[in-house]
Amino acid sequence: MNLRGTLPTLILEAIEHEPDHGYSIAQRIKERSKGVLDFKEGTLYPALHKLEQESTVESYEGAEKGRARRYYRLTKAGRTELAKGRKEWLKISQAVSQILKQA
Amino acid sequence: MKPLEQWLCAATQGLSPESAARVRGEIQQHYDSAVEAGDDPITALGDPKAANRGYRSVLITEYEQAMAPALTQAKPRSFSNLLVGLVFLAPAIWIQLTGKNLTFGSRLIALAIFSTLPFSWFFAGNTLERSRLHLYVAAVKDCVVVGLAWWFQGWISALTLGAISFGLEYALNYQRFLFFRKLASGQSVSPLPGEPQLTHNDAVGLSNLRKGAFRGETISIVIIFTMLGAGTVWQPATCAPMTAWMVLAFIARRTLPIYTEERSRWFRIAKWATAVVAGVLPVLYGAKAPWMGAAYIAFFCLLFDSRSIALRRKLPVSEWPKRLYW
Repeated sequence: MNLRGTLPTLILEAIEHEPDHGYSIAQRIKERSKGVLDFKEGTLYPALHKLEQESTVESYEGAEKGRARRYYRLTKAGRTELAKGRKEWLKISQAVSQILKQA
Repeated sequence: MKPLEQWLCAATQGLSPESAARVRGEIQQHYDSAVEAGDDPITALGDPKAANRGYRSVLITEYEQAMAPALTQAKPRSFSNLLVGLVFLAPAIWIQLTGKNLTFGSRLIALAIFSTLPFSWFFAGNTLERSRLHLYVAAVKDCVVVGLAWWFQGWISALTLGAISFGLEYALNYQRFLFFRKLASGQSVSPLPGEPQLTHNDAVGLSNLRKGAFRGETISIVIIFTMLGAGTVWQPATCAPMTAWMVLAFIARRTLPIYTEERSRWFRIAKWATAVVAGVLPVLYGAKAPWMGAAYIAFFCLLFDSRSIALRRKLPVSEWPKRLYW
């Protein structure tokens, strides 16, 4: 399923509770959607950089199993953005459901 | 070449060395994790060109790296840039002063179009905040231009002027703002490997000359020739000599064997001599707006040649890139 436009919100959601690295964020989104939401992982990093520029996430160098990793964590502005994204998505999905029910 | 290396080459095309290194690092980490988990990483990464488009919008590109010294310089505009601007403005001022048939609306629109020039000259947009201010000022000016065009000349004029103004604002001010936003996110730009006697602007000019034709230049050549073609159809007596000179110069430098110091010098002498002839011809046979051709030839010569003249003086012939012989 195409994720155009919703990927930033899904990324923010994936790192809401704990910081994570790129590969794990991609897998988390795929797993939590039970494989329905599939996206090309090459587009994940430009989206992460954009979120970093908007100060909704920040990154730092870490290590996992002795391997260097870049971790991303949510900022205060990111939490506000995530809440806004959730609200907007709820509104859109309710409207679409309403239309489809009518059909 | 390995599939990962192929993917990285396509995904990092046009990025600055620092940006490319960052992409390589993060994708390598991603690739290793995917291999460890038994996934097919290249298929999962998807189209590298799509990733490249995304990266170019958020990471510093090669072109921005070359432009960085000019974009970040603290002083507003140099005297030569002011001169180029004035040469460009001269025909507009001349039309304003002598155009008896110009309506009040046309004069107001022209005034609005050029109203922000002093601001751009004397207030450098060399930081994120300043470039943001430039963007706002330009947006307000464009709205005023479109409003005036709609009020005095109708919606076709408003749409045309709007498309040109907002297009230029996107190419100039918005791209500059994006560059400073990228810098503000902590990215760095390494200085260009320049010769010690060269100024920042010389180094940028030299880097562009060494690169050969780049996208921005190709677009500007197409725009210039389209404008000249339209001008020749509209006012053949005024514009034809200028068009003929530009076309001949364009063809000559691509076909004639001018790539020695001596031949190059003769080529440039012939180029300037014919430019003078093309500028004087409309005056001799009394064309309408006779100085327009001369002004535009002077503008193009100043715009393209002023940097080359400085570089020729500072660099030994053995280090001249091919395009410096023109």
